[in-house]
Amino acid sequence: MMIYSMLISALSQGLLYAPMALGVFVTFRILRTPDLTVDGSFVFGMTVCAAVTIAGHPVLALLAGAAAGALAGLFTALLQTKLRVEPILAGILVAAGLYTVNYAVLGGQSNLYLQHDAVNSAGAAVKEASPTVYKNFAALFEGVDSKLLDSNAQVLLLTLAVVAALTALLGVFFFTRPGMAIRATGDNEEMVRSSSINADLTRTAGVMLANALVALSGALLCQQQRYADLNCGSSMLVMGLASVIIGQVLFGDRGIVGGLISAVGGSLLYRIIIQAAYQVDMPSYAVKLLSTLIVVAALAVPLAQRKLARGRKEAEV
Amino acid sequence: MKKFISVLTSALILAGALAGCGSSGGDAASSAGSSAGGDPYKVAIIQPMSHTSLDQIRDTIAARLGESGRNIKITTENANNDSTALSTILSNCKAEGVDLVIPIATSTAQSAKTVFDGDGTPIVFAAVSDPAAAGLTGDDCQYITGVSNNIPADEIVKLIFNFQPDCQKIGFLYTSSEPNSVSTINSAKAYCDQENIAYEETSIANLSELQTAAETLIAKGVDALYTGNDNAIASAMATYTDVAYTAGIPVYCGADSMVADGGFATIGVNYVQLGEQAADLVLRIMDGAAPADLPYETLSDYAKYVNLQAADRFGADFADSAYQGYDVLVEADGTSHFQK
Repeated sequence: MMIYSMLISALSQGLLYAPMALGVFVTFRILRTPDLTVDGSFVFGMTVCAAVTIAGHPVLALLAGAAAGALAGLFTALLQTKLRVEPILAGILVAAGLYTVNYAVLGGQSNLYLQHDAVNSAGAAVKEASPTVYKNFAALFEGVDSKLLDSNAQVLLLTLAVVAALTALLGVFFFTRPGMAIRATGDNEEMVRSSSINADLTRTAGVMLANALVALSGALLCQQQRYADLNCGSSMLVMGLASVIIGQVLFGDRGIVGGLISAVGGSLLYRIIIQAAYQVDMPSYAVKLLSTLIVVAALAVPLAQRKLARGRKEAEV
Repeated sequence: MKKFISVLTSALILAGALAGCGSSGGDAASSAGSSAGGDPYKVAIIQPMSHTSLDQIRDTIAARLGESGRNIKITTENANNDSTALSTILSNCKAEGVDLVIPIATSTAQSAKTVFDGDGTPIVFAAVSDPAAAGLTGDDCQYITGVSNNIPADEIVKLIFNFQPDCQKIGFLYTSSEPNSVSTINSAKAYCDQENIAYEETSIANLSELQTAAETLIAKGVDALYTGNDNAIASAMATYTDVAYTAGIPVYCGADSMVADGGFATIGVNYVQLGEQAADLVLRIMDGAAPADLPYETLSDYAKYVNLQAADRFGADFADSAYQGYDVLVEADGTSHFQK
């Protein structure tokens, strides 16, 4: 039971960060451009989502969060394409600027809980928790008394549906004309330009899409944990990259659809690794080093496999 | 797809094995007292990162619970400044079936509320500055109580009246772009309005206006100056205090570092006190008190510091009794006991 509930928790958390891994996959693997906007756009999605959720529109809040991320991506892409700023620097600049924007969206504070003023049945002014998609979803299970379907499992189900739909949509999109153009921009920008496609436009679309995904992840997390916090963006990029690379290493590099599924799988695995690392009986400050070692070990697997395979082949000869 | 599933399965098995071999997890798993038999009461203390004051709270709680002689098993966890780890750690605690959680700082407490949502595990938070704004006081918080680290406005005003019982008018000086500073001053002003205490206020947009602003306030006849935890003004305490002390007006401030840099007196959070109050709440819950019946507490005692060198500069003639309960941060000869 303990393992089951920990596993459900790891999987539900992993799925919440899966859209971010998909976003990182789009910039790093499809556009082949490092985009460091992630740490900022993740929180931007979170803060905008918090503001709209408190206004009473949980579903719209998720879309608004994603739109906010797309806007952040637009600025990064404009810096890249119009001002010819180095992609790495463009991302850092936008992420830094977003700090102030996020602070302002939260109303000049660093932490905002999803609640609004209300009057209770006794007529007293109280703070009432704002409805979130997760809360509305959980309401469907009211009365269902099952140990297997705790709050984490409900989060898992709903997020799984969202992530599956996203992955399928992206899978289809990258085989449409605009999707193909974005992929071609990453593969060979010169060729794209010479076939009279506006490469700046496709690049901009790609970066916007990626950051919308990242911000949607922040928005989902915001509704699940029921608060937005400015510090939630730190080390997001590292996590996203680790997820993408772990996924690619373990599940192989097999086309665009395989890549998307690998990114999601990588995000799940990364969370499982972290959850397991916190379970090992040792001081919790040692977890960072342990999780780094586990990631490095995962990265070393394919090389080791290749070496082994070659050794076997040589032995046969 | 086959590979995808096989890799995921093997990872799950590995994770399960890891989880199995380290079932306790945590820094200092210690059983306190052995008088009571049976299963120990499992308490988890979770902090978001390492930081002098957070560590002090954690150590105080652990020590106090240890001294109580009860059969308590304490585990301490640290998210190492990784906000994504908070949920993970808390879920682990939940899966292990802890009896009570002590989250330190606002976001930790909020995550704990989400993870332990409605399962009845008591949550005793420590160091949340505004529990109501953080969503920890509503109707859905029947199992949540704790200790806030907020310093109420009346304590700030009392600080001034402790030394100057006949103070007629207080001057508030702050930087308009610093939310923390502004909110402290706003609550102090609200308290003064309520208590009919006269005050003047001046805000500055940047440091070049500091001297003029301080002179303006003094010209309006204030008897004392107060500035909250204002980072900009904190960096220019020399200018500020030169103007004030020449006119014989003491400067009270919102941080011990500002007192070390020339301010006269401050009142701040005493983290040992905070930890002790949190531990006492835990003990009362163990004794059967319902968290719903225990409203969250504010500090009953504060860290109070004075600067005796500053007192000489503005020619203080306060009664010796006023200094009772205050720690001397800077001696009259300029020796500083301030440790950053």
